[in-house]
Amino acid sequence: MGEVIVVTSGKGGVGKTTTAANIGTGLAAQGKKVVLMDTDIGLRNLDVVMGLENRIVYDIVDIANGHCKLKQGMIKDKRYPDLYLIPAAQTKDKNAVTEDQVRAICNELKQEVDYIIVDCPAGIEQGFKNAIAGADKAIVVTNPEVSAVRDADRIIGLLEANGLGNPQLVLNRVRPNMVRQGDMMSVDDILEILAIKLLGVIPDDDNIVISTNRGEPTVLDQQSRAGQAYRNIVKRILGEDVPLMNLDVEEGFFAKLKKLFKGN
Amino acid sequence: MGEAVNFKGNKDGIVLLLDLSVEFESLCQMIVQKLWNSRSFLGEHTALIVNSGQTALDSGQQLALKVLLQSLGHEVKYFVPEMAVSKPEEPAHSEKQEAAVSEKQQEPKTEKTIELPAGLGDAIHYLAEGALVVRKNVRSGQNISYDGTLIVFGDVNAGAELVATGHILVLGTLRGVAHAGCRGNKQAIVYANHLNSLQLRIADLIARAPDGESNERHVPEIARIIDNQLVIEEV
Repeated sequence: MGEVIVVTSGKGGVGKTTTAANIGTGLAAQGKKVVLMDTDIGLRNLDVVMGLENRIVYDIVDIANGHCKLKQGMIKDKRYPDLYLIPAAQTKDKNAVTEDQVRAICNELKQEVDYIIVDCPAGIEQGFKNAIAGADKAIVVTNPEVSAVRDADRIIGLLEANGLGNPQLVLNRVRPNMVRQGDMMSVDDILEILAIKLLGVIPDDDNIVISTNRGEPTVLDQQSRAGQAYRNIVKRILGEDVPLMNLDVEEGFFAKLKKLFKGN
Repeated sequence: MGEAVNFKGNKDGIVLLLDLSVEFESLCQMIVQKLWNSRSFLGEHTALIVNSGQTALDSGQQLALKVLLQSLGHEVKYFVPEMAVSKPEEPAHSEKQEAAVSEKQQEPKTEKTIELPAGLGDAIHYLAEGALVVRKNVRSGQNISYDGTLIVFGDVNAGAELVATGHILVLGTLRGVAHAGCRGNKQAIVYANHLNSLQLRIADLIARAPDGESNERHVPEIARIIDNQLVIEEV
């Protein structure tokens, strides 16, 4: 029996889709059978981030309304044989599917695969309700910004109200230099407010933009620090105890030189 | 002893016997229950001696109990065993509190109207008739309105709203909006272990936090109306 994990945030642009794509791909890279499901109907993105846009024939609305079979709507990934994408429809809106329909799709998928990662739209309206309808667990993504943390807090309250207590937090786009200078909220500041379990911290990384544009999830890039952070998150989801990575390894030329002269 | 909260009389007055093997939060709830059940026996504004057996209560717990008893119309005479850190209450302070409480008691009890956000259900306990206890963090977008005294064991985050006709006690950090005495009771107070609220309201007075400043002092504070001004002071 598989597990349905919804990735949500409240605020837009904090990295829900990126997180969903990377966690899904990372789980598939670990040999799990995974379906990525985009519920952001009308503003679909997950297919672009995954580089699968050109393969879309059927979408979630077609599956929900019985225009195609579930298997037909599942797009096979180009990298992993056990990774699938159910794309959102682009020409409809959030009311094109109901919570019951999404729940039914999730329940059917659970029989077949290990993980269903649901990419939730921004906001707290029907799209959000659809996305969480079939979920067993929730991951809340936020940035170290007051507005994003405020929205995350709101979302955690709504998740609890809908029976998804104890969501886990992914803190995205952290810039250690700014935190050190006191210009950005620290991980501890945010955890004090949100008071939920931390799943992982993703450093701000230019590679994300490049990989998103190319349709290649960062989690597969062994050089990328954000990719490493996502790989750690995947391991934690699989039950491994991985310590948080040190975000401060980025060193300037002079710092390295200094170290060299000090002889360590 | 059987019960975790008990009364005993001695030459000094009425002693509230507490069994500290019980979790402190549950203990507080039992105290409220017990006081309510014994209200005819206790009368109003009784000074209680709090006896916690072998172990002394820490300063935070003593403070919480003081505020709790005050909000229920009584006060703490002293604690046994005493805590070295705790100061005896200033007389002026408790007089003010008594005044606050007496006025509240005279208010006619109206029918309870409670609005609760979904999902908080199992974290909420109704204490006798007087107070509502919420044992959970109250998050942005959640609103708790209660006709009576509202006690939150947890944080109240920015964007959350607490409204009560009586006092509001937050045994945690208060970042959201709290409105005590919302039907015009100017004697109502707002208490928080860490008062870092963007806006406080008592009766028809509104106070807001200074722009761009956050209260970094983690000390328990009480907001109340003095001379028609909303004043915040350390407990």
